[in-house]
Amino acid sequence: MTSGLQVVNARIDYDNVDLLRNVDIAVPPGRIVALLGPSGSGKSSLLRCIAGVQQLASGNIYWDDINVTALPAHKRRFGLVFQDALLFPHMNVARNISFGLRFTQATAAEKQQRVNELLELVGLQEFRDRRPDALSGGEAQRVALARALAPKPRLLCLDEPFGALDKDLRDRLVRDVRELLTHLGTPALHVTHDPDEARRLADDLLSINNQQIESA
Amino acid sequence: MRRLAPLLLAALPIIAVIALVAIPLVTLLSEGLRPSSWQVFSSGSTWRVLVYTVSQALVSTVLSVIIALPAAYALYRLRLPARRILLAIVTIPFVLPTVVVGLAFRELLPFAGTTAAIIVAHVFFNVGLVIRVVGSVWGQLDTRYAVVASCLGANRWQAFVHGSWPLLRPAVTAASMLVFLFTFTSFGVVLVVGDPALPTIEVEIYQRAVQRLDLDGAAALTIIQLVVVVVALAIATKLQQHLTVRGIITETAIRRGPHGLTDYAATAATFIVVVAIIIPLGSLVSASMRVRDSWGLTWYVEAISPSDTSTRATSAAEALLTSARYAVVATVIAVTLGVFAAIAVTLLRRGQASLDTVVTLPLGVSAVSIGLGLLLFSISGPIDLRGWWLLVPLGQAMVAMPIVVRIVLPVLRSIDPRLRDVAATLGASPFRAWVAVDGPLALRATAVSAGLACAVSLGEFGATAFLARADTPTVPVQIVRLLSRPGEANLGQAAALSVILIVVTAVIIGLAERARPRTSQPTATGGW
Repeated sequence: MTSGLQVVNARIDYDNVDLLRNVDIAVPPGRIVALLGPSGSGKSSLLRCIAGVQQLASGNIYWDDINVTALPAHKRRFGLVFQDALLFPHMNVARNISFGLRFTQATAAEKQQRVNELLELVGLQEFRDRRPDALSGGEAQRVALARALAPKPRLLCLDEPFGALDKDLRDRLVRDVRELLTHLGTPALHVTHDPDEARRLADDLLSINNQQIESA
Repeated sequence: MRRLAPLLLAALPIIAVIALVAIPLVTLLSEGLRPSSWQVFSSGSTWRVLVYTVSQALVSTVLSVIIALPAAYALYRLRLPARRILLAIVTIPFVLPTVVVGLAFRELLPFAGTTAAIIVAHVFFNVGLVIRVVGSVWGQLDTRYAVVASCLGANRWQAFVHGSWPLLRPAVTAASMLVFLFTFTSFGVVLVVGDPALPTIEVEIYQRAVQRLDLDGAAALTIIQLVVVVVALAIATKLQQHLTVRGIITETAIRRGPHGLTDYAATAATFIVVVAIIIPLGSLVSASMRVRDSWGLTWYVEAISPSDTSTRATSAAEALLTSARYAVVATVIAVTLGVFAAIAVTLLRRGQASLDTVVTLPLGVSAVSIGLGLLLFSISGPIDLRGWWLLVPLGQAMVAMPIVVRIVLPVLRSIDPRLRDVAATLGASPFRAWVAVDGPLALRATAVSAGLACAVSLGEFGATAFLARADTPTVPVQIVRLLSRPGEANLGQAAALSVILIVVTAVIIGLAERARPRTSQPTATGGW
């Protein structure tokens, strides 16, 4: 059958109030899927459920036809990027990026090399020793992206990652991220309320209407 | 006017610290330090006392932190039943008079009179402090850091160690530092539950000055104590500078229901802490009501109107009245000076940090040093102030003022200065703008701090022990006097007085707490 991410008949609630019902989503290998919806519609909750940091009220999540619904977040290998970069303030850029590599078998040299690769990919080689508070919003978001990609996630979850940036910067970053993900072949689920941004980043568009998800 | 007002506000607390702490301290050192004092520095017993004092303080600090951390997590991150009540209970010990806590543990512990008893009492005292200081930061740590860490492959423990712990460490360091200072200069507890043959520096200073009239030795020890305090504060400042990170606090910290083994273990630990806090208080109540082989209120009646006036010159009623009078005056002084200082710190353009340091200084000087210094100054100063009643509340106010500043200052600092600018553009003068914007919040914080200052004054023993006149003891002084006499009646009355003091303290703190704004923002009262 299909592989990649499959969300089947999921229900999302918040404080026992249903936000989304009958959710069926597929993100095939290498595809970027955007999910459009107004704030408060439950799209961020859905993303958190997929990442494994929140539980579905009911339904199932599959990766390559294996049920991962009960798998804790740290074993799913799904990356997550928030609207604010949330860089660890006590670490410099390089240590932020290598954070996820601490929990892998990689040797110090391999980690070093991976950090260098990612710094180059996001174009921030000269920022490796900077502290997060010395970065602009766009730079911080690039570091957050590099940090999420470092442990080679099977899927990238993007929770309005460009929402806090001004328009010019956002346009440039959207283009860069699309290039990057296509280049790496990493599938992604991108949640946003901006139809324009969704169209330019994603291969497929879904939207939330009346607590249901439909393709746009 | 705009420049002048903060300077005028700052002047009064600065003068107070100079007159009531700095000059007496210098007097103490100049009076005491004579060639013969050098004996103290070269004596092996001095260094044994120092090592003992530091060791018990370190052990007390480490244990307090270890015991407090799970409870801080449970109380500030989880949705627990009766959370407010649990939080209130863990805060009680911190505002209790030291000699009262000492007595409670003397009655409770089979191993009273040992170092272990001192440590247990110190942990009892300080666990709530650590819970509140660390918890108020923990409760506001952005939970999404943990989410980020777990999406990057960290399990819960790894996410904590690498993601949350580094962000918590400044708060843990700050709390540890406070606990170390309190336990290093602890007096009432050590005097009542400690081993008389193993004094700490603070007790040794007291004994030399009061019992052996060896002021040279007391002054020399005061210097050693000051050096340790200054070194400890310097280390703390250094660590804090290195560790302080910005941008970790969210406004919307959500507490969730317990989930998983860790949460339930932390919850269980919290309840154990709460029970462990209630038991000593219970033992005190039982000691106050145990009359020979039965139960009764005899000791309360005896304490309030003694039938045998020959052995006890002062009744409890008189001691309570004395304490109340001192507490009112000390609170007014401490709150006035503390609030002036806090306002000045927020309004000053330059020298904010220096003023902050000056008004915090008394916190680093032990209460015994303040009391002894004031006593010596009152004898040898330009005017003979011996026996002047105001000395007692002045000494107590110096102990309480830093606490007032630490509560009011964060509240004032949390106010966005642009709000005052908005008020100004709407036509408010600087003074009117301050009253409208800062006033209401400052008033609440002032009320909370007044309650604590009053509790501190009521329970204060270190400075008061030197300054109170023999014929007008405060309640804690009277308790220690009763304890120094043999017999069941004296013990029973000491316990009865302790219970009365606890009740009065609890009522005052309870009233002050009502002024606390009911928001989730702990900055509004500086973590208290």
